[in-house]
Amino acid sequence: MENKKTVQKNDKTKRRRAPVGWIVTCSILGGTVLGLGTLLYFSNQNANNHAMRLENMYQKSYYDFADNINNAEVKLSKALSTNDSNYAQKLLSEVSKNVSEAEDKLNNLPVSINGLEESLKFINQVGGYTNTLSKKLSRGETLSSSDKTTLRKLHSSIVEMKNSIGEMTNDMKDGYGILSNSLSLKGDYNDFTISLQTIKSNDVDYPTMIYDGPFADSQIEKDIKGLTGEMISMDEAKQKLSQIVKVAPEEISFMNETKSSFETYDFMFEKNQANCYAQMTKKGGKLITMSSFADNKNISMSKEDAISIAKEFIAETGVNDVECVWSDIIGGNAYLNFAPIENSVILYPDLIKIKVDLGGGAILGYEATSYYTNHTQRKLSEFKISSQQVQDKLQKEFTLISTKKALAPIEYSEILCYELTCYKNSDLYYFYFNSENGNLENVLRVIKTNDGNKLM
Amino acid sequence: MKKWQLLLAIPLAFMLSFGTILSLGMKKLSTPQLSSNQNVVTAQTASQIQAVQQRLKELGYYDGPITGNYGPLTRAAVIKFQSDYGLNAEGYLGPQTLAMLGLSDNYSSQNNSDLYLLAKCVYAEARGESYVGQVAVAAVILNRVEHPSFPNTIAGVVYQPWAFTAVYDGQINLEPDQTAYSAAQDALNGWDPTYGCIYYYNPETATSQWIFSREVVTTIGKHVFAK
Repeated sequence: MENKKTVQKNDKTKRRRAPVGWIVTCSILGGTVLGLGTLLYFSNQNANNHAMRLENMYQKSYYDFADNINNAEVKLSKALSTNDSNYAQKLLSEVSKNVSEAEDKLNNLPVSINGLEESLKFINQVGGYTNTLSKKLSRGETLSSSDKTTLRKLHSSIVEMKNSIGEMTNDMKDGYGILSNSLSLKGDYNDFTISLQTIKSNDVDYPTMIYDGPFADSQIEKDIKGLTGEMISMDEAKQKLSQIVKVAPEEISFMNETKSSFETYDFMFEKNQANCYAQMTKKGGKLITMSSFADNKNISMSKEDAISIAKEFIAETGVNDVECVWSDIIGGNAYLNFAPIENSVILYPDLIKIKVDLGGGAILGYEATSYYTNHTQRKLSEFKISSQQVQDKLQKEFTLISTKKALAPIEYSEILCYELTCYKNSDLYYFYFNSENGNLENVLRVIKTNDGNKLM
Repeated sequence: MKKWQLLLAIPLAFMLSFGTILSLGMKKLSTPQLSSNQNVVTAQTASQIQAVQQRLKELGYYDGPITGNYGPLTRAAVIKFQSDYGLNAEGYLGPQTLAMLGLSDNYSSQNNSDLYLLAKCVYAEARGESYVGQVAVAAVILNRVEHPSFPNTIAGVVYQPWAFTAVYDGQINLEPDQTAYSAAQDALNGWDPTYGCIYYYNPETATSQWIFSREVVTTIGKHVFAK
């Protein structure tokens, strides 16, 4: 009897306890679900907010782009209808600013990279061309009839572009989402790019523009002036490289051929525990570039030592007429620039760059593309003004250190200049004055940074 | 008892671990990785030490060679200079000593942000490649800056939407190593083993048909470089 009671009591306790347990468990579970749900809701909302902000930024970029193209079109039409060259100059310079702004905005949009190449190029060239014409007018020159013909063609192309943008803007008004359309890929393009392709080149009649300003295609493909000699075989190139770098030919492996403005045989070898990659030209068999890396933190030689090591190496490659014209120490390496000096004129277009490890004196890098692209027998004209005349043009706060003669590459042409090196406070400047008329062609300032000096 | 202890433990553990993941994720997002690469700092000191040695030599405190090494000779000269000029004569090259030497901290005053950004992109895109492969990737970025069809700044090219996978998936925020820095530096100094290429791709993974139509210039490691 007693036992039965106890059992009954126990049963009752069990029965009573069980629901308490379940209630606690359920409420905890419920709480968890509620908590997670809230978390999920907020994080989702957060993601939506971010997406919205991104969409807004894209929309802003799009409308800025459209505005700039529309403004450029109006200004270009005004420039075409005025005979006042001052006003035309102002308008053309504004068109140039508008299109470069338009280019920047278009680049901010999530267009797949290969989608609008031609349109961007067109926009960029319009900017370059109008800028060139604006400079021409500010020099007091007038627009030729062919300039005007090109401008008229450009204008009609921009009108077409403007119309395409108008169609796109109508879609935007109907709620077109740039972000959502950019996320799905269709083959090589994303949906946004496909939508934007109404603005693509095929619909626009591009005038052929031939001018000497920046961004002209002809400037990108340069003529090679400095390479002479016969075409050589890969084995001959390997032999030549072996003599230059003092590594046995068996230890040099042929990697690849490069086909560009320079045609090269590319090799790899190991020297001083570093892997070196070297390119030899097929024509004439010249060492044109070499790259390797050494993580060196100890400097055990002076810059002068590095310069003489570099000079010996350059002589091994077959170049004997260069002197060191710029040097900088970055990390444990010396970066040295060499240029030929002809009748005491530094030929800056024909640079050879070389990188020397200041720890062990190894040649880590060699770069002679500028030298072999530009080096040729030039007829340098006489200096028409004296060095005193240009020195007088310096402002008083500059302390002159040296005056040299130089051939300087300025905006894709070579200009004979006086190079004046001077200090102002603790900053180093280089001034380039035209040798014919004394005009200031360029100013460079040496900027000291954490990673060596930079010229700007 | 055990049964609901277990039932209680599961959601608790879940919540805890979820919380940890969340907080870790937040931490990862919010910690700015600003610390400059130590190698660069050490390496920069070398040229700074050369300047110190030069200055000490001019002032008559040092007559050893200009090495860039902070050896015992240099240290002794610095200590002598410091005690003469009423500074803490500990041989430590702090801002005060540098200022007194007329070498005020100008060297560290400007960060080379172009180099940093370029190095980051090189590291993110090509850290598995050989050194020249990394120089080539840096050169392509710089060639794009010059090219009419691309933005005109390094930041514009690197962050151009859809241009680089490593930017898209966030690998761009990894801290670059010394090799990537050096490769970026070489490219900025004019090294370009691709001779003006503006595209590169890995033929094994490239999905775009369009990219195959570009004129191939060279292959370095896994990357094909094209114009």
